[in-house]
Amino acid sequence: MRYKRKMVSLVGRLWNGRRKCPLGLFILGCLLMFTRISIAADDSERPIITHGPIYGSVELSAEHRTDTQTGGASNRTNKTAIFREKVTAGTEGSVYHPNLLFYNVALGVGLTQQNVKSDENSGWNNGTLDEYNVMMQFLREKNYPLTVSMSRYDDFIARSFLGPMETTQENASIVQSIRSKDWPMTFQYTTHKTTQRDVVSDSNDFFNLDSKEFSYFLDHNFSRLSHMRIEYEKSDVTQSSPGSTTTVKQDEFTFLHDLIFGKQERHRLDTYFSYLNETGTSDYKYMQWSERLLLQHTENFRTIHELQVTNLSQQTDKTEEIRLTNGFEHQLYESLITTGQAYISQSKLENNTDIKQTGESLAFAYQKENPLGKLFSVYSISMNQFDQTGGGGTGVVLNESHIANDVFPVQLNQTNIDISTIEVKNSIGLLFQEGEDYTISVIGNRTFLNIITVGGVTPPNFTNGEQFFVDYNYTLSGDQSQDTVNQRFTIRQRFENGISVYYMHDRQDQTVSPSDANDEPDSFRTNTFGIDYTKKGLFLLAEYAKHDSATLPWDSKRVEGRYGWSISPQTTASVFASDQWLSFGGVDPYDTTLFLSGAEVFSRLMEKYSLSTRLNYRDETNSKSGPTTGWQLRSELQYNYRRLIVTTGVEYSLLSRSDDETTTTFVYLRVKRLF
Amino acid sequence: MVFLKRTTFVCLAIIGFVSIFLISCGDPAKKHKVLTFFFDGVPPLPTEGEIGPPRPDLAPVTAKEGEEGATGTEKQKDVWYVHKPAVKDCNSCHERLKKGQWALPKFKKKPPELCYDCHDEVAKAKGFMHGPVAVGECLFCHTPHRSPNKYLLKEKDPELCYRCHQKLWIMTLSGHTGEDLSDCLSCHEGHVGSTISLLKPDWNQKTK
Repeated sequence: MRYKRKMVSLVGRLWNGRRKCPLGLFILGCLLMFTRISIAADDSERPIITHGPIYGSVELSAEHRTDTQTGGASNRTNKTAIFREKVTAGTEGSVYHPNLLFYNVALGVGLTQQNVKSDENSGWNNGTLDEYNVMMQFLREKNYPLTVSMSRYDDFIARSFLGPMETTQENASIVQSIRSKDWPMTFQYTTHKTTQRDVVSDSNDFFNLDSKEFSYFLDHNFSRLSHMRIEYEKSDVTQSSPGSTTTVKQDEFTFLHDLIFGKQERHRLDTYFSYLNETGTSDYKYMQWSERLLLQHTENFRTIHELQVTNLSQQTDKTEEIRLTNGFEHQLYESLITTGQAYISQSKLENNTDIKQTGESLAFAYQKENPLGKLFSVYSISMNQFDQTGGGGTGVVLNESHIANDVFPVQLNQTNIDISTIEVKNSIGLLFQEGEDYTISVIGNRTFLNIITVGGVTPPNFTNGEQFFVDYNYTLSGDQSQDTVNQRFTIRQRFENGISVYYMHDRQDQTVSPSDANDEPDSFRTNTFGIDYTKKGLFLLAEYAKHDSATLPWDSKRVEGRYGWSISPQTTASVFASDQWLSFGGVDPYDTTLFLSGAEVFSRLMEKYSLSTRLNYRDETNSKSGPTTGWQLRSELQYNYRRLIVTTGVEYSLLSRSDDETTTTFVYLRVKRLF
Repeated sequence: MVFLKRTTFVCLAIIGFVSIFLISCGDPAKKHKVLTFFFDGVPPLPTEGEIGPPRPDLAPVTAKEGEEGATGTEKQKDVWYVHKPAVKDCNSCHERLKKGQWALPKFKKKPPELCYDCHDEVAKAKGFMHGPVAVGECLFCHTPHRSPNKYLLKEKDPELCYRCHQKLWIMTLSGHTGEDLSDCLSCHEGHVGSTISLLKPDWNQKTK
């Protein structure tokens, strides 16, 4: 008994502190194993704690990064070297029985040395790498399994013109599932902590993220054709960086139900209800309720009816919207799909502003095989009426979705935007920085984002074609009505020899009343002609487009070519090149030419060696901001034999913009021996 | 302006209904000829002596030429897509039975290994994988013998996709308005893609 008390006291002390917790569990496990406590099972005895083979690895790595900036206002050089030596070991096993407690544990310890030589700082810094990953599953075969997991990772990352950044990530979660036949549910509590800091320079450079989240999920099938799901999530996220701390607390409740009914079970009713209450740095409440009825009248004809009610309140602004939509879809044989939709929406703003929107749309998508190949054509027309009565107000837009384009400015949907409220974020909510990642330009009452895809210093950086989201506020002036008609026509003939010719016409006609200099109508026409050729790995394209608009007219010529082929069964290669000439008009006309080219080779040289190399070139000339030229080379050689993995690589990039030139060289060698 | 767009809208609707009315009237042979001139997938006329409209399940199994998974030489005569081995050689997929032996036909190998024997481009492809492909459930989306749908799909696109991906949520995504929802596979890959959304490399061109 005395021995047991001592052990409990020791474990309690080790448990005291998050970082020591896995260590405590590890020592407790070792003690139990060494004391050889065993249990009787059938006619034999087995140890109370069992474990499988111990696995692990020894890792050594060396990295060197050099950044140089010449020309312009400043010349600077930054050199960083990082060395890591790390040992990890892990195993999996059980306590008493795998169905009582199954565990998987891995521990890692290591040392790291960093050296920085820059104009501001020089010197060495030593650090440690403490890592663990512990997962325990209690009663995994029962209907109420409990999973507890904890992990911690350390790393040191070389940065451009900055000292190495120490990054620590700690995660912990506890998940209780109840596998009830009728009411399965899950309770989950998760904590996540990220700490980043500059370990060499004295600058106050850090980033901390601390999040706690509780979630609950419940599913229930009322019958084979009726399903329900309830989700509740409560989270508390705090982010801090120099000069800025944000705290966001969210409570989100979601209810979903679907019911399949009717003859041959062809009809469906979906119910969706969501309520979000966010407090902290930005306070808002958002409620959405929708009922969606899908009636499949025949195999080829269905109608869709939807009622949606939304309620948004942010600080002093409040918007209520009721939207009713009716639509149909019809498929005629395999050639023609016709869709139509009509909606009416009524919104009420806090300051007695009423907005009524109605709209109709009709679209035909047609395809037909013919002796030459296949013809595709789409025509769509949509008409929207917007009527606002009552005093002006502030409209709030959340998560307006756009696609990043490094040559075309992205136009935000609303007019008269308060640009100080614009926040641009990526798909996981990280904020892009104005100036570094994008710039804002205002033409008339329209707002455009100019996306920068090269030369960003800190993540997140935009990549061309990436989806991003924008929040902003905009001003609604007094009584106003807008009529907008959008038409789009596309025709493409794909010939059997691989050639395809196409024409696209996109137009918007808008009238605004009363006419006001601040609310100019946004009417435009875009005509696009193109021809492409596809054959095996070869793709060639030539396209001309002209956009006539009172706000930002442009015309574009583009040629593009790609080719990918297998040099041998072990080696594949691809090359591409594109050239685009753009001319923007309007109040601030400018021209841009953008030439991109690249090549990529992947080769399994021998059974044990593989090599991958990628080279990209960019040459951009902008009559406003000057020329930009960039090279980027990445090459990696890997040796993989039995349990030894050796990886070495080099990355080189050169970016020359106006009178400023930045070069980066990154060389690394990593050796990993598994055991 | 409002009058103009209303007129355009009404005219389009009238043209549509009149076209459908005209096509529906007249001699069945002429009607069929007109329909096959304008549309793909028109069912064949009933053969002599056959009463009533043709039933796809009783129609002779021929297939479109030039489509993946299709065989046969008659062009655009029927709407069935047939897996080539199902016509030519059952034993390329099923175990050969001994003479007089009766049993449910067994696969030579289990899918997906059986499928990868011929369709190795899926097995070799690198990138983000569609869920059923990742777990080797080819038959979750495809039927092994014949189908009225392209690529031997169990249902037409997008109904097949809606089995797992709820349309309500798809419509909340950018670029997924009503008219874009009819053909998922024009922008998305069915097996493996280079992006997490399995977007085709030229998806941006197709949505213009």
